[in-house]
Amino acid sequence: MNISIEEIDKKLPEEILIRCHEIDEEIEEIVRNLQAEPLVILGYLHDTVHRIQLRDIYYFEAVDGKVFLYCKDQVYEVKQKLYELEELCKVKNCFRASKSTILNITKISSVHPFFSGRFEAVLDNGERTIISRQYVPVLKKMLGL
Amino acid sequence: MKLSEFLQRIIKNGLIIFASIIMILTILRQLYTPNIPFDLNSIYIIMGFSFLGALTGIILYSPNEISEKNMRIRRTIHFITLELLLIALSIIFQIVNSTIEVIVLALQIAVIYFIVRLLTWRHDKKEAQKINEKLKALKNDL
Repeated sequence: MNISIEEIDKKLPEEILIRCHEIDEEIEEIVRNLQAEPLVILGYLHDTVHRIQLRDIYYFEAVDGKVFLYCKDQVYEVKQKLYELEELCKVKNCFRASKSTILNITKISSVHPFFSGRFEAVLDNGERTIISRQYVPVLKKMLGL
Repeated sequence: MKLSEFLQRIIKNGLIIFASIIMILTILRQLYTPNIPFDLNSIYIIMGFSFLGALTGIILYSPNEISEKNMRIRRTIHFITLELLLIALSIIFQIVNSTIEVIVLALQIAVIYFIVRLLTWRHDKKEAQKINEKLKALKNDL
């Protein structure tokens, strides 16, 4: 499929036109993605509140009753509970990887099995986190396996 | 995983172990000693071994997230417990009667345990490979 981008005069309204042979599931998915608002999570660091886009989040983790979100090299506290974040982000390429973590699939570099029966996910920033065996089918389903 | 779900899994594993042993024994008996019947006592012993063996799975359960090191320690404890339990039951039921037989049984349990873990790991490795291919494709699409 060819992708063309045309720069237009500022006076004209911006638009996206899809030219296709038929409107199938793939086209509908592209439209859904274009229409979807980028998900923003509020992250608290010291006394400041940051608006963080989901595409910048690597994973969420619950530690001692608090929930944190991890970006490439920064950690923020989040006010939502882990199950609320799971519900919020599950349609946005995120999945529950263990009792205490939610992973952003797009930030996983690779997955390796341990001899103990669990899996380890290596993230794009080099961090490593555990994927419990029971949640591997969830990841597989989200990847279409 | 909740404790109730974990207990359900242990019961399911116990039933699978019991059914597998019975099926293998039936085929072997059919092949080598078709005229000897199963006695009720043997069935109860196999049932007991199956469920007690599956019950040791509780060692691997934790309500909280545990580190990989902790998991490996639990695996080792699980293996030792399984060895001790099966050997103790075998001695009680007089299935093994000498030191040599105990050593042979211990080795058999160890080999089977290792083979099961190895097969699981190899299966997981294939799964991971498929996941990694999909992850690569996903990244290319983004």
